[in-house]
Amino acid sequence: MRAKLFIIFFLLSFYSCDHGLKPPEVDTSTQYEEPGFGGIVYFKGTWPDTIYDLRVVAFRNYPPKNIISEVIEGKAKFSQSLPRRVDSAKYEVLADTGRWEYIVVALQYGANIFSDWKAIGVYDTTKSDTIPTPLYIPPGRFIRGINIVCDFRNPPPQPFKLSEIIGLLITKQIEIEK
Amino acid sequence: MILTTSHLFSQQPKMGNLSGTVLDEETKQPIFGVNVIIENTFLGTATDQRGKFSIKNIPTGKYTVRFSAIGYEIKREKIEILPSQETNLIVELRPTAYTTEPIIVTATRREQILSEIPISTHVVESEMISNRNNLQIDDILRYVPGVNMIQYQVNIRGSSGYSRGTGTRVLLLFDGMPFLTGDAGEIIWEAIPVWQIEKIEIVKGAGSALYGSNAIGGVINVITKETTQKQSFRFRTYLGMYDKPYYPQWRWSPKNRFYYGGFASFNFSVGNLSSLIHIQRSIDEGYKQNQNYHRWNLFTKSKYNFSPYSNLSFVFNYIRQKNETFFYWKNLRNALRPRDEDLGSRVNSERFVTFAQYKRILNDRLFYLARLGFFRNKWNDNLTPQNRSTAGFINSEIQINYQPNDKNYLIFGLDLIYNDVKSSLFGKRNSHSVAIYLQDDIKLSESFSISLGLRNDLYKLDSLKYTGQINPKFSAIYKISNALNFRTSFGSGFRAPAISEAFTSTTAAGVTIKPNPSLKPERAISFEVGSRFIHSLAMIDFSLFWNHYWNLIEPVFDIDGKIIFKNVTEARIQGAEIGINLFPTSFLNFSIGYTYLFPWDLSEDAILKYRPKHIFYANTNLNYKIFHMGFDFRFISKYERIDQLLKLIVPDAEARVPIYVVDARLGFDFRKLKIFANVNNLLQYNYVEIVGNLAPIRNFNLSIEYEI
Repeated sequence: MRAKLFIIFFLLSFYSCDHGLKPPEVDTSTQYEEPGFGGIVYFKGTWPDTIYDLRVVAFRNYPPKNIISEVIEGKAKFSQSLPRRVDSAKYEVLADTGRWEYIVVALQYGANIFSDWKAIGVYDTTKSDTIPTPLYIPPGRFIRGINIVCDFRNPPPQPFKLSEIIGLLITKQIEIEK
Repeated sequence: MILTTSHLFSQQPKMGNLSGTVLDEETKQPIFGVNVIIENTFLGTATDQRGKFSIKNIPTGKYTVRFSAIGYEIKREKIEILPSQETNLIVELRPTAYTTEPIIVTATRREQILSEIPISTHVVESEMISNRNNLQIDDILRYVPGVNMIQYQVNIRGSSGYSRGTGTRVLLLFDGMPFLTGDAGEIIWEAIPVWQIEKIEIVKGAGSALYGSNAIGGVINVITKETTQKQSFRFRTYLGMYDKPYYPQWRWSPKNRFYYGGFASFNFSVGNLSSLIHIQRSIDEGYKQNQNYHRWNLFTKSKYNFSPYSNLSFVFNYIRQKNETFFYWKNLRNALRPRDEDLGSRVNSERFVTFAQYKRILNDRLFYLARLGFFRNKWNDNLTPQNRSTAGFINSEIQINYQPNDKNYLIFGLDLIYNDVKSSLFGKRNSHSVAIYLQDDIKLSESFSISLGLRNDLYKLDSLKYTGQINPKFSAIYKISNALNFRTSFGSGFRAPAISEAFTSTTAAGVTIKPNPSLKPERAISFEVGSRFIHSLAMIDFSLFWNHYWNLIEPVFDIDGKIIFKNVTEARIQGAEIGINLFPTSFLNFSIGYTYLFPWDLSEDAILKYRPKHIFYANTNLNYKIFHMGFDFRFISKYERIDQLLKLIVPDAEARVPIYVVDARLGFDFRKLKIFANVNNLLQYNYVEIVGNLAPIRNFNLSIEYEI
């Protein structure tokens, strides 16, 4: 009995030798670009008085089938805050390889990060309809030239309430970036 | 035993003295430190190094004297004290290889030895706390079978999960007084003077039939050392150092990180008054960035004996602390650094609990105790705007123990609570409750006993309506022999919402929390069958348990994107637990504890969040003359599910692993001088108890204790 206990103790202790959690490894041997996309956002019209935040956000699906789970599962990505009261601004979004169906410029107009958002511009290269243009990011490629026009006088349709979507996303992404 | 009575001197009429010597039955050598207690009185003492003891001024009459010491069987002797005479005893105690069964008071609110307790109960003795150099009692609880800690939140058989410090589902008692903060209903572990603990009793399963709200998952009672008539001075100092993080990427400081401190305590007596004063200083530079603390503790305990049958105890326990706050890591690549916005955040707190307890033995079948206590909890942080909270918690209780005959033992009690909170987060709130409880322990035969209990709580939370809760309990124990018994118990429990859960209204870092005054209390029932086997070479305890919970309160997103506490979860936790203690020789022992949990969230048809399925502990101790050493090992399986909210807030929240931790200790005991060396997390295993918080990395400490 004592011998068995020692064996159990030893085996369990042995498992401890893997040291548990470890920092993510960075593979520097392969030269490739961080997948994502970027471009310029052009602003037209009169800027609103109050702006809390301004970002480019990308969603996998349009319209998103389950917004919350997309956010939670990390399927939606977004840029750093954009400068305000400018005519144009460069942006970059680090997004995974694959198809992104909805790319939107989102503006936070109130203090509540979970509820006070609206869309002011959408990446849409086809004028014949209001369906956003999807974007495909190949493995190890960063797509440039994804330009978006925001016209404050003529905002795009709000396909869904942005309330919890953007706020939750930003809370998560900020932490990851830091 | 040799009993002699002699006329030594004349003193007060109707008073006599008791003296004697206690010897080892086998070696005939005197035994030092034997507790000698005259039952049904407060009279008692301990033997000196020559095995001698003396108790003076005992009222004349017939008594039973109990002799107990670690490593010996308990012995009781009947004596008669005659006027102006000294009764002299020579008692021999039989050595036993296994640890003497501890006496428990929490499970049934009366003194019973462990094998008579019909509910799963575990005891941690002071010697183990001292040997492990545990600095806080949550460190001690990490090695109790069926218990696991999720950072500062205690879980008994998966009862609590993780609720961000609000509303614990385990009731903590400090010498019998409820010790939860009035605002968030949380446990302040660091407020307990760990080196003045006599023992910690952990009762598993719903215990609201005796203890009311919060005892939904179990009760932990921290019992501090008794004051003695003997004057003594104790001093202890410790120095610890954290090892470098295992991965160079995690190094955030070029300097070694230390923790250090110590305490001094003085025990003295004047006439019938005996007192203990304990002062403690603790500093920890932190193995994580922005995690240090500076702490002062003051603990005093006094006892005045009005007579051998009545006494008054007074306790004052104070803590003042300044600590930085590490909420979550920056990410797994920076596991020991906080989020940038948390750098520099800190909390100042000042807390004290004070209570007076009067106990009177009216005769050998009736006694009562009455207690009045106050717990003040005050804290503030350095955020803008600043959060601050002050809570005053008043508790008053009277308990009557009455044994009308040899078959029945009745306990009746009345419990009153008033709680007043002023906070920038919760507003100005108050709550109060009144409860009565009754328990009857019935001895149906020499081998079969049952216990019936019922408690009715009526409580009011601020402006809301009164809510009533009736909680029954039933337990039975059947002794097959002195070595083997079977037990079963059933009980219900509840937890009233904490003020913080019902009334928090704040926005921080873009997250808004809104109040929900319509919260209902959480409820539970628990059922258990078990068996205990006691032999000179082994003690085995086995139990099967089944717990069902309703209306568990959790923070969720409301439809407007704000966070709100709601009654959302119905859950069932079933499992089995086995504890084995082996005593192959007098100087070596092993113990293991394994708990299997099947924690199921019935509302979401998924495994409950933050609950492990497997909890395993093992430890071994070697004591040889002045030398002792030991190893502790614990394994907790990976939490399979965490809440989505934390996934959003915490980067790399999914970075979790099973927990495998080994601690080692070595010590020397020169009676007055004791030296302890410990290595915690010997194998430098990196793990989290709560997402985004790396648990303590390997650290070494050395402590020295001296007693005069």
